[in-house]
Amino acid sequence: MTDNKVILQVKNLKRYFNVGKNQTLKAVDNVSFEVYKGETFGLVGESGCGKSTLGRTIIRLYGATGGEVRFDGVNVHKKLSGAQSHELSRRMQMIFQDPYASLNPRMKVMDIVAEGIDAHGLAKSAQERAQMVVDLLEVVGLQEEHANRFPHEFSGGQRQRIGIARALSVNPDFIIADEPISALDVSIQAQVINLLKKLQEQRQLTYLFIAHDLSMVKHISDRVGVMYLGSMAELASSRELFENPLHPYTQALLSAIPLPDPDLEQSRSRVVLEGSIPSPINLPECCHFCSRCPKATELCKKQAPEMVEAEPGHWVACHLIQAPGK
Amino acid sequence: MAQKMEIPQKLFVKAVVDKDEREHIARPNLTAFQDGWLRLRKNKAAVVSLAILVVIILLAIFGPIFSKYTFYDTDYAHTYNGPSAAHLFGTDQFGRDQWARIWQGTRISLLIAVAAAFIDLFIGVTFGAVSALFGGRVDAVMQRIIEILVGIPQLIIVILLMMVMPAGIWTIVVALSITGWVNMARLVRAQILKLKNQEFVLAARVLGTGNREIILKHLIPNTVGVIVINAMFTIPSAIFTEAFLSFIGIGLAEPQASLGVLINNGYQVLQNFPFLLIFPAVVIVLIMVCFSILGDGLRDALDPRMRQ
Repeated sequence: MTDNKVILQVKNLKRYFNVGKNQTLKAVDNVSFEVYKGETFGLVGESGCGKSTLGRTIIRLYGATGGEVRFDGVNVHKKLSGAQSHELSRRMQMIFQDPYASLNPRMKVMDIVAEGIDAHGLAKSAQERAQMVVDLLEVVGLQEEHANRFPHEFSGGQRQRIGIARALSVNPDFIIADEPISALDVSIQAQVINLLKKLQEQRQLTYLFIAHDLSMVKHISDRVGVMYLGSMAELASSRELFENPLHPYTQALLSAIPLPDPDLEQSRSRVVLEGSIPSPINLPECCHFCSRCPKATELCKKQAPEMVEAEPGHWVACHLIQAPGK
Repeated sequence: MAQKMEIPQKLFVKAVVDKDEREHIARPNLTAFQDGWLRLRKNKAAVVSLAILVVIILLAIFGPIFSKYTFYDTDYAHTYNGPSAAHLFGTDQFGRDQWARIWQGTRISLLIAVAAAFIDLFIGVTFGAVSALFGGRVDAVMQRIIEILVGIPQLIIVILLMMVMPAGIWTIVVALSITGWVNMARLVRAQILKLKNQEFVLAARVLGTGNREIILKHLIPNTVGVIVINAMFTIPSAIFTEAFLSFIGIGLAEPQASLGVLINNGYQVLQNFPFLLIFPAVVIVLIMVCFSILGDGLRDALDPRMRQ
C-alpha cells in the first residue's frame, strides 16, 4: 500500500502550555517525523507523554509554539485562506478516544454524521444528505433505522463506529485516531480495528494511530514512533522496532508486554524502570529519560540527544547509540 | 453431589443470529418533542403545576375582559364587601371589584416576569456564552463587569431609576433587567466552559464547523437544562421583586393594580377584612410554586438521557 510519498511532515514541532508564572509545560518538544501516504503510523508512549497533544496540534485544535506541520506541502499553522483551511479540515479528520463524550447527546445520529456534510456543503438536497448518511452508516455496519436515534441508545462500540462514520463523511485522506479503542471492551476493540483496516484498504486512508496498547500497535502499524515526555525517543518500522529496540526506554516498554504463553511468560525477563516519570513542567536541558535510564552517563544529564539514523529507517534519540560511520 | 445429566448432542440447535437483528434497537422511535412530552407527563406534580398555570394565565388574559366591573371603577356604596355572587372576591376600600383587580394585577405581574425572563435569556445567555467562548482577557473583563453589577444593591438602582423615569411597569422591567441577567450569565458561562473542551465540540471544530454553528448546535442545546430551570426561577423572583417594590411603595401607582399593590392594600386592613390579603397572596404563591415545580419537571423532560 505504501508508496514513498510523504503526506504529513512534522518538523521540530513544539507545543508549550503556560502553567502559572514562569512555568512552561513542554507537552510536545522538538518532535519530527514523516508519515507516508497509505501507511499506518503508530504513536505510543505512556499517559501524559504528549501523544494526544501532538495529534491535536497536527489537526490544528492547538496552535504550534514552534516548528511546522506540513500536510501535502501546506504549512497548516500558517495563516491560510478560508478555502485552504476548509480544504484542510476536509482532508484531515480525527477519531476520538471516548465514544461517550465525542457524540453530542442532544443530536440525532443523522445530524451527527451529517455535520461534516453540512459544514462543507457536500449535499445538494436534504434527500441527498439523508442518503449519504445512510450509506455511511452501512459502511460502518449500522443501519438506516439508527439515523433517527440519539447517541445514548447505542453501545460503546456502536458509538465509536458512529464517530468513524462522522470522520468519513467528508472523504478524508488522513485520519488521526486518538486512542480509538482504549475505552472499549477487548472483543469490541477487534471489531473496530478490523473496520479501520478495511476502510484503509477501501479508501486508501493514511492513519496516525495513537495508542498505548503495544500489541495492538504492532498489529496495525507499518511504522511506530515511541514518545517519552514530549519528545520522540525512537522511530522505526513496526517489525524492526519490536525485534530490535535500541532506546533503553523502548526496551523497557517492550519487555512489559505480557506473553500469551504461560511458560514463556514465567521466564520473561523484564526491564523494570526505577522511579517515576518526572513532572513535565520546567524540565532541565538534558536527556529527559536520564533520571530513570539504567544506562545513563554524565553526558545524558547535560545534553539532550539528537535523533540519529542508527540503521536505515530506524531513528533513535540516545547518546549511547551512534550513527554508523561516525 | 449434583446429579449428572446427559444432554444428547443432537438436542443442540445452532442459533441463527440475524445480522440485521444484532444491531437492532427495540425502543420505539420518537421525535425529541414527543419524547419530552411523554416524560413530562409522567411527572404528576409538573403536570398539575402546568394545568394551574394555564388556568391562571387564561384568567389573567380573559378575566378582566369578561368581568362587568373594571379594575378602576369605584363604587362607594359597596366598600369592603365580603365575597359574594356579585363580587366573587369582594371589594376593596373604594368599592372596586377585587376579582377584576386580582386578574389585572396577575396580568401585570406576569408581564413583568415574562419580560424579565426574556431579558435574562437574551442578555444573560449571550453574555455568558461569549465570555466562556472567548476566554482569556475578554472573559476576565466581562467577569469584572458582572462583579461590579452584583456589588451594587438592587434597591438603590431601582430608587435611582425612579428619579429619572416615571413609576410604572417599564421602570420596574428596566430595573430588574439591569442586574437580573447576572445569574444566568454566570450559570451559562460555567456550563459552556465545561462543554467547550468536550470531544464532540472538538470533533465539530475538526470537521470545519463555524463558531456560530458550534454555539447554536452544540453548546446552547446542552445548556438548555440550566437555562430553562433558571428562567423558571427568574419568573417567580421577578414577580416577588415587583410585589416587594409595590409593597414598600415605589412600584406601580394607583389605580394600577399588581399583585404586590393588592397585597399591600390587603395587609393594611388584615385584621378586619382578611380576604383582601388572602386572595392575592394565594395567587402569588400558586404562581411561584408552580413555576418552580414545572421548571424542575421540564429540565428532566428536556434531557434525552433521562428517559427509561
